[in-house]
Amino acid sequence: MKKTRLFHALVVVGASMTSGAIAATATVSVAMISGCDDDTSSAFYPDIGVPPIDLSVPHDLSSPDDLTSRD
Amino acid sequence: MSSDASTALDDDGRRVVAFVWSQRAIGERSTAETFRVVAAGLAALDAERELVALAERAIDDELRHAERCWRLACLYAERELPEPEALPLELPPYDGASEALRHSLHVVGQCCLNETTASAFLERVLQQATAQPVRETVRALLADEVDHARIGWAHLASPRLSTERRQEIAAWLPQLFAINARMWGRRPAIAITPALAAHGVPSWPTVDEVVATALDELIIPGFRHVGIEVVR
Repeated sequence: MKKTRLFHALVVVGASMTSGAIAATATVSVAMISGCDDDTSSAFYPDIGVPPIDLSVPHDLSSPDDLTSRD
Repeated sequence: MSSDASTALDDDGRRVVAFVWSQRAIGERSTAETFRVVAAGLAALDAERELVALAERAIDDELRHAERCWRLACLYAERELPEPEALPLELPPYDGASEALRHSLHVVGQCCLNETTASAFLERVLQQATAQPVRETVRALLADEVDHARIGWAHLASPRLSTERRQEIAAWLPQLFAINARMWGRRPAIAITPALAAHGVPSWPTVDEVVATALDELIIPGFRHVGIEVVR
């Protein structure tokens, strides 16, 4: 697996803040990621890139006022 | 508006860019509240003092991000927009998990998954953006998001996290992955024209590619790095 500069910056440096790499202690299968049962439909970890944008129906982009409306 | 920001954008494009950045401002403002939960959880877990401090600082970081995104939105809108307000905080309930495990799951969900994906997303946005105000904002956000992602990886690598807890966290990963995939899969039903990438709004196929690559090259190898083997 290619290890990118970002991997090093996030994971390697992050893990080293407490202990660094550790021995394997757990295994999990996520083969069914897209189909797994997810009962947390209201779950919400918002951040950049995942804004609750819905530009589709309610927003008339010809009106500057609609720049501030949502949902 | 600076000529940099307005160049090559028609009115519709400018309004879409302003709207997207205004919604990002709301997202950042809301994330400040999520980090209050993360910081409190880490403190309750008696996590390393440095991690708790980093999570507390992240609250202020996200508030600052919200302001920067809002100012950018105002720049494109060419008027002052209402300041961003936090959305109601709705965290996954993780039914059946102990209180301590829920604390860790919030840290993993927010930091190892969302902030790691966000870092990859912002890196790509920066590669495509040419408007100087956008580049300055994205650089500032990316510098902080890297730290925010590290909180999660540091927590998972901590010797204070027992083998049993790590195994419990592993069992929840399919659901955490599904939550992250769903959030990043939210799409407005409008076309993002190629010109908008210069202003920090990449195309949806680009977002899809970034999310998939982040999973393959950062998140799954990241879990492996901290002792959780993810089998696909």
